[in-house]
Amino acid sequence: MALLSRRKEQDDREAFELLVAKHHLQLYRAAYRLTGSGEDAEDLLQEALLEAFADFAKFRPGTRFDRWVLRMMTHTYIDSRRKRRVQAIWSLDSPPEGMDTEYLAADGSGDPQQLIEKHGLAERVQMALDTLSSEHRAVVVLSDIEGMSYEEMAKVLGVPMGTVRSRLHRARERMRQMLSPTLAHPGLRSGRAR
Amino acid sequence: MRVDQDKVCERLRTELQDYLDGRLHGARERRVQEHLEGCPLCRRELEDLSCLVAAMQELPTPRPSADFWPRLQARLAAAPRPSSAWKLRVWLPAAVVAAALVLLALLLPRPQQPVLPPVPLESYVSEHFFVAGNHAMSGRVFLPPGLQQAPRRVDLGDDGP
Repeated sequence: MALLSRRKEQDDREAFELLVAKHHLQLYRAAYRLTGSGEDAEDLLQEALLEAFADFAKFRPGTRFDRWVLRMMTHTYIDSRRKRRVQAIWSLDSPPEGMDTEYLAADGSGDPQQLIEKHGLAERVQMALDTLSSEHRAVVVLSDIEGMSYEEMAKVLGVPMGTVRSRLHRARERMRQMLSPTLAHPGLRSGRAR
Repeated sequence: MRVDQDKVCERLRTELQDYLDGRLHGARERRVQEHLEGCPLCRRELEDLSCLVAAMQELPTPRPSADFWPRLQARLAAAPRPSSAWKLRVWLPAAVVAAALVLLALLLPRPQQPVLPPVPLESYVSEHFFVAGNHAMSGRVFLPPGLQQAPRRVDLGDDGP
């Protein structure tokens, strides 16, 4: 009986680890975009995965593991931010030190991915993300980085769809205003608009 | 004229992101499209939003540090077994409540049966005599042997045996 129990435990752990191995990069990406730092992202993801493992008996085949963990991770993140109440809010009128709003003036060529790496757009987008409240940041990450629909986000965040929509619109609008000079760059605009 | 245009822009601006996300259909979608054709400001805003979303989708995927996986495995190995932990969380409170109920039932004083004084036979018979005597169906009475002053059987019609 004890042997069977140990065997079951081992099977659970192996199944869980296989699922984590399959999805950990995507989950880490979301954690990184939420927290804005590698160390915090690892801590957040580990906490979410331990919580998921404790609830693994409730996980049913057919459920998307990544969505299941993302839900726990988002709630853990929002709760921890609420507790800490530490938000580095920048004023839209005065960009933070070291943020050059004219940095993309010269080079008009290249695909967006190259521009991101060349000009550090990734950092700027992350900085703009970091200015948002945890609730607004979560909805942007889930929508525009993880590709969730409004319906999925409403389920994951446990809020009505109208709330998801208004948070997403407000967050994007704020980021648009912050990154406006960057977004005006011709290299980023080619063939982008709908 | 510009004021009117600004009002239209303001109203449609709330729908620009819905349009970008493909959530507008039919007349609402056409209305936004028609406005965009004639309004460079809103077109610019839509392009900005579109570029922002594209930039976020194309952000590089970072990788966790080398010790992330071993650290996670060690923590998972030390964590309680998922199924038993879940069952324990579900069953333990139920078991505690059940035990408390049993204990309560054992400790509570049992209600005593009221002890009634014996009823004399005569009073019982006379009481039933008056009830039966008032029977609406027959108007006749039944008395046990020894108290016979009336017929022994009562015709109760359909209610009878």
